[in-house]
Order: sequence, then C-alpha cells, then structure tokens
Amino acid sequence: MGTGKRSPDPFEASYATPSVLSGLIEKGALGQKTGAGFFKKVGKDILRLDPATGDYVAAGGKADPIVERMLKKPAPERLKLLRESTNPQAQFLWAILRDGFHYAAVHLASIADCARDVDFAMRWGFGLKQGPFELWQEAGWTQVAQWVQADIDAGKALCAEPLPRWVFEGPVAEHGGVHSPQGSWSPARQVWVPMSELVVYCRQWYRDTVLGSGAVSPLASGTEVYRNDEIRVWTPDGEVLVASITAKLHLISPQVTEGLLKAVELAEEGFQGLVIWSPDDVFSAGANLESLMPVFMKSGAKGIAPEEKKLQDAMLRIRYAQVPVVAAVRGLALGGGCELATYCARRVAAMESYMGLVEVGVGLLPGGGGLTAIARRAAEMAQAGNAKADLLQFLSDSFTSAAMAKVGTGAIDSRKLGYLVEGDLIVPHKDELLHVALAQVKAMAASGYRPPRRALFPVAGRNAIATIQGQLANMRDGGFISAHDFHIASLIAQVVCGGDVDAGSLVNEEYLMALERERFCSLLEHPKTQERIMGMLSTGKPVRN
Amino acid sequence: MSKQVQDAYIVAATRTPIGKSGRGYFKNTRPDDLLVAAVRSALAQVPSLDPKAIEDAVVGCSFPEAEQGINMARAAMVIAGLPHTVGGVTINRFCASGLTAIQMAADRIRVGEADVMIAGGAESMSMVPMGGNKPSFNPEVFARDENVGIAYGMGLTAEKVAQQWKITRERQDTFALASHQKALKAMADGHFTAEMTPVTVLDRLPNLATGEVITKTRTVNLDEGARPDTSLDGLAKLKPVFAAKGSVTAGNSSQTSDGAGALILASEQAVKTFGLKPLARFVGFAVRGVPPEIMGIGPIEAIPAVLKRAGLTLNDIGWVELNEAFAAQALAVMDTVGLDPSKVNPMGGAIALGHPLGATGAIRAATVVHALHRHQLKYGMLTMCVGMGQGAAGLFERV
Repeated sequence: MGTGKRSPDPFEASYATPSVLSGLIEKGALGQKTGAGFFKKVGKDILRLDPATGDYVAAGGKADPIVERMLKKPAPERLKLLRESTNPQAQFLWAILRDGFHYAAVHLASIADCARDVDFAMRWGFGLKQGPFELWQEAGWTQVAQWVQADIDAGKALCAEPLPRWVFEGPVAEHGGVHSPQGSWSPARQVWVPMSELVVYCRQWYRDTVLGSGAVSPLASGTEVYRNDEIRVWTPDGEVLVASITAKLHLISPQVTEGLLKAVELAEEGFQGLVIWSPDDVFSAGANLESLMPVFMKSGAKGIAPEEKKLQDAMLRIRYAQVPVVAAVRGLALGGGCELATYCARRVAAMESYMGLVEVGVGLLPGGGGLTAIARRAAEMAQAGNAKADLLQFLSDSFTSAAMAKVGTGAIDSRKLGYLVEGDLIVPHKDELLHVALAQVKAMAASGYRPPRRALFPVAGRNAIATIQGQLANMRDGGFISAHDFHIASLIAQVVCGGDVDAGSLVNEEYLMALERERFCSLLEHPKTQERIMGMLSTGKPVRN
Repeated sequence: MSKQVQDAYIVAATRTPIGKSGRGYFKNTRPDDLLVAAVRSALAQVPSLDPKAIEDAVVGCSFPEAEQGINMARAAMVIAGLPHTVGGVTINRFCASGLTAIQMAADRIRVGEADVMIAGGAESMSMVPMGGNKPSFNPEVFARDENVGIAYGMGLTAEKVAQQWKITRERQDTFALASHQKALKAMADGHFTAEMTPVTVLDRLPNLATGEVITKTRTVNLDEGARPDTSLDGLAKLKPVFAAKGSVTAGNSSQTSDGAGALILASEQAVKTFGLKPLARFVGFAVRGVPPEIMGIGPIEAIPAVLKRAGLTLNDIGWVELNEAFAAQALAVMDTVGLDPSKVNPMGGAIALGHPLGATGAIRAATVVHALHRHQLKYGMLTMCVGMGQGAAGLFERV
C-alpha cells in the first residue's frame, strides 16, 4: 500500500496473528458458517472457546459486580479504578483503553488531519459511544497521558514507542486535551482545526460534535418558550416551534401531553408551525403506562378512561391544529409514539426509524387513536379509488400490523406497514432531519396550510368483523395464537370495523375513539392482560398467555 | 331404489388438462374459455347429435363470480355456438359442484322432462381465489361454538380429521407420493388420452421496446401438477401450514388448479334417434352433511348411502375416484369405509393432478367413464368431501 517508502509502524509486531486465532484457522473453525469459531452453537446453547484447552465450554459469564460498579463512575475515576485494580477483568479493560490511546496518539499525525477525525471514525465506523481522544480528554488529559507513558516504560504496552511530544508539551498540554472550542488539534499542521464550514453542513442544525468542542446541546439552544420536567418547547429560528420530549424514552405522560397542547397553542398564536423532534435516536417509545398505575390502583379502568381520552383529544388537537405539525421521527416510534406521529400533518423520518403499534405485546390494544387512524385511512384509500370499493381490502394489512404488533425494520419498512404515507419524507442523514422538518413546516405554511376537514367516513361494519374473526379462528384453532390473542385481536377488529354496525355506516373519529377506550379499559381489567403487563414490567420480556 | 321413469346415459365425456393456479398453464386463460373448449370437444364426440335437442346445460363452479360469474353456463353455451334454445344454469356445491351438475342434468332426463342435457364444471383458481374476491362471513358464525367450523379453512379441517382418525404424517406423505407416482405412470402410458381435450392457449404480451403485442400459441394436453421429483424425503421436509403442531402440509394436500370438464347425457330415445353410442349409465347419487369442522369425512356417509340406494355393495365397484382434498381425509375415508386401496385413484388424484374445485366432479367423471371401458369394469364411483361439511357420491355403470 502507498507509493513511496513509509516509516516503520512501531506496532507492527503486534499485528501478527495470535496463536489462538491461527489455531482455529488451522482447524477450519472459521466461524458460524463452519459450525464453530470463538463460539460454537450446540443446540440452543452458545459455548465459548477455552483458549487454554482448545475445548468449548459454557459461555454467558458476566462482568464481576465490582468491575460493573467501576464502569458506572465518571471517566476520571473510572479509568483510575480500572488501572489500579488487580481484578483481571479491570486490567483487561484498562489495557484495551491504554493501547487505544497509545496507538491513536502515535499515529495521529500521519493518519488524520486532526484528532476529531479519529474520534468520528471510531464512533461512526465502529459504533463506539466516544472516540479514544474524547475519553482520554474527559478522564483527564495529563493524568491519563502519564499513566500510558508509565505503562510503556514498564513494558506493559504493545510496543516501546513513546507518546509523541505534542501530548505533553504545547497547546494540547496547556489546554488539557485535543478538542477545544477553536477546533481539534492537528499535530501534522500544528494548528487547531475547526469544524468544516462547507455549505452542506448548513443542513445539519445540530451536527455531531466531539466532547470538549464547546458545542451547545440542542436542548439548551434556541429560544425557549415553555418547559416542564418532561418536555421543552423552543424555537431555533424564531419561525417554527420545536417540541422536544425530554422524558426517559420520551414516554408520553400527562405532563408531556400538557406540553404538546401548549406547544400547539403557542404555535398557532405566533409561529408558522410546530415540529416534534428530539436530538437523540428515540421519537417516543409510547405512552407512560407506569405513570397510570397509581390511577389504576385507585380507581381501576374507570379512572384510566378519562386519562386515555385526554391523550386521544390531544391527538385530535394536533391533527386539527390551524398550523402544520410535523413529526420528525428517528429511532423508536412505538405505541403512543407511533400514534403521535400518525396524527401529525406530515412525517419526516430518518432512515433508521422503527414505527409500530405494539400494545398487543402487553395484552392491550392501541388506545391513543391508532385504531381510529387505521379505520380513517382505509376509508380514505377506498374512496380515492372507487366509492364502492370493499373497505376490508384496505383494512386487512393495517389490522394485521396492529394485531401482530409489527414494527417497521426501518423507515422504508415502516412505510410498507402504513405508518408513513404518501407525502411523508425519508431523510437519509439523521442530522438533516430537523432541517427537512422545519422546511416542510414552512413550505406547508407558505402553501396556505389548512387542517383536514372534519368529515364522516364509512366503516366496514359487522360482516367485516366476522370475516376477520374467521381468519383468527383458524389461527386459534390451529394453535398459532392463544385464546387471549384471539380475544384481543377480535377487539381490534371491532374497533377498526366500527363496531356492530351495518357496512358502510358513516362515523367520525370521536365515535371510534370511544370504542377504543371501551375496549382498552375492558382489557385492562382482564386477568390475562394484567399478567402480561406485570410480566413485561418485571422482566422486560413479553408474556405469551 | 330409484323411481326414475327412464335412464340417463352419458354419451360423451371429456375434460381439459388441469393447470396449476397462479403461475401455471392456464394462469391467463378464462375459465369460461376452458368450459367452451370442453363443451365443443364433447359435442365433437357426438357429431350425429342435433344440438337443438339439448334442453339445458348445468355447470358447476365453486366461486361463480368475476371471470366465472354472470351465469357462466349460459354465457359459455352461447360462445360455444350452441343454439340459443339451449338453457344454462351455474350451480355450486363447492367441490361436489361438478358431480352435482351431472346429477341434476341426469335427473331431468330421469324424470322424463328432457332428452339431452349437458353437464360440466369449470374453475379458475388463478383468476378467482379460494374464498372469492370478497369473502364475507355471517356474524352468526360466532354466535355459537358449533358454528365456528363454517369459518375453518379446509386445511384446518384436515388436521382435525387427522387427529381424530389418527392418520400419521408418514401415512399422509406416503399416500401423497403414491398419487404422484400413479399419475406419472398413467400419463406415460397414455391413459389420460381418451378423456383429454387439448387446449390451445394464446399468450398475449406487450413488447415494451417495440410497442407491439406479441402473441404466442401453445397447446396443453397433459395435466401440470404431477412431479417426477417427489420423494418421501422431500415431502418430510415440508412444514405443516394449518396447525402449529400439525401433519398436513402443502405436499400432502391437493393443489389449487384451473380446469374444466363437460359431459353429454341422453335418454334412450335420444340415443336411438341420433345413433349415439352410450358410454355409461348414470346409476345414482347421494349427499350427506357432516360436521363442518371435519368436512373431510363426508364420503364416509355418502358412500354407503349411494350404494344402498343403488342396491350395490363395495365389492361391486371396480373403480373409485375419491377426490384427494387431503391425504389425511382420503385415508380416513378409506380406513373407515373399508375401500380397497388398489381400486382407489389408480391414475393418481388431486394431490398430484390438482383440484379445480367446481370442475373436479366433471373432470373425474370423465376419468371414471373412460377407465371403466379401458379396463372393462362394470361399476365406477366418484366421491368427494365438500367444504363446510358434506359428502357426495355418484355411481356409473359401463354400457
């Protein structure tokens, strides 16, 4: 590789294939496709190679609790504890970090324009949460440098090459790290290299940065107009409001709902529209069921119904807002989160968006308007074609997605499931999501946006419910689903078909939402659903009963 | 015993090849066109018959809608060039539609109110799927547990039969393999030739480069479904599809298909008047209902009923066409009724040859009639189970 001569790599000796690996290769144990590698699957168990004996033994060992506790400490303390511990697991972790710091520092001048590029490469390319220089700087630049050099001097490192001088002397040492508000250090050019100002970056409102660069978190920037413990409503440009849910997993609680309603009100009063967006990779993992537990304990399902109605009313308030509300979806949009996105005027989704109605997994059904939306959408699609088109044909797939708690494996799959519709956009670059969402709001406002007309729409009715149940009966009596699965799916069918009414009956959203509430609450009181909820809360895994 | 005033004779019997639905020979061929081909071929077998003597055409079809709707029997007779004086009625008893059409046509002659009748069946499962284009169940199906069987798919009913009659997966797969082997041998020996109406298919495809429509002609004269590569190992690898821990697979179930059959029936008077050569006498028919959730056992009730009505026993029957809706139900019927396996489907059955629902009765009747002659047997039986719980059986006597 390369055209001219290059200086010898001091780490070269450590690139030799370790004997444990060459041994495996000799034996033909090349991995899963040959039946074994470092791991071997025997039946349902995964065994691991014991390098000492060459045999496969039971795997599944966990980190020692003491090491786990170390890993929870802030960076300076964490690295100190790992390095000073005699526990072999801690020693192993420290060694990996030390060797990474050593290698990155020695090679930085010849492999990258500045330290930031190495950190980005390790984060974007290898999925690390932090690049090596970020961690080094966070843990205390000089102290860690001294530890690394001490280990090199003691012969513990991969090679004897000392850390380069720029680590201990000059701007980096004075600053206490390679990342600063002026940029990141380039040992090759002896300058702080700022972030690129290429025009394309104007599309990234809050682009990826490195620790120490002094960039402001999106949740602390712009002009704030409202906040509570779980949601921040602010504007980056004075034109469009942004609602950022800050609660854990962005679960929708009464506080979040209150904040969203406030955001809509403020947007209508003085902005072009509203974007629901968060800087991290979760849109919303759903309604906050735990926050409803006290109400349920006290008043049972009767107490839940009004809370559910508040959530549904909020969905309608968003849908019929006088200004466009755009959902900027990235990551999980499950259950109530999926419903929230559905009730927005438009969705802009990052490629890695996982949308789905998952309530069936805990023995419930989508109760925040999700089933109402399915029925309305089916009517719209049927009417777009032929006024007499059979509604059930347009319901089937969406019914199945909800009844089987299907989640899109990405934005494109989410579109196939019907959670992104025509007019919605998929944005390949996650950092451009906010830009596109803001632009959509402005385009819709400039086009004279009006909320949808409140119209009645036809439902499929009682025969369609029976027809769906026919399929379900086959699945139940063929042993593919349980009696309770059948029951939940039947209730979902009842809602999306509009209840025990004649085919083609005209209904409105309020009517269907009342059906949703009634069925949702009946499930809350069902012992098998309660088993599922309790099981999920305690083990995090779905219960099939 | 029958109170008929006269006998009904089959004077012509023929059928089209059976194609695999979806991607097979007849995927773009209208079922009414298949019916027309069969009817024209049947008429060609009796050139001395004056078509004006035909009173009516009774045609079976299990999902008489779309391409097989608007009373396909009538439309096809007009298209086939029959005089407008010939009537047409399309009837539905699901898998027994074809046999029921023969029975209804025969009965018009047997009560002395018609001299010549056409009976047939046609089905394109490529164009109209099982269940129809707009399935719609009655909510009453869920009003009582006993009604739920109406909603059961055929495969699930086969699983229920397999469970209750203890028909193992191995027996089902062995039965399926034999169906293919018998069919392939009969095809190689040319035994299907006498009953077969070759069909010329015109494929019409657009050439996107030139904008022209390209037409290709091909002639189909053999059934499509039998597979030389069938093996017990291959069958064993298939997963059960109708029940989580079941034994019924795609390999030991009938195939979904396209096809048509047509027969001409005549009174003795008509035989004399037009110098016809009768092939078989229609002896009798019986239908019995059984619980919907185990519809596959229908023939267990229908077979004894038709034999008793005709004053015959199983020993008198030389050839049995037992529609192989599923190996599980065919075996349950054979075990319970005590059918002699060597007499059942000697040329293979629906598992290998396919089952175009409403056409099957007419197609297999043609098989029976010609087989009785080929092997000089006296009596033949045609029997099948019917979705939602029925069994039907018909008897024919070689003349």
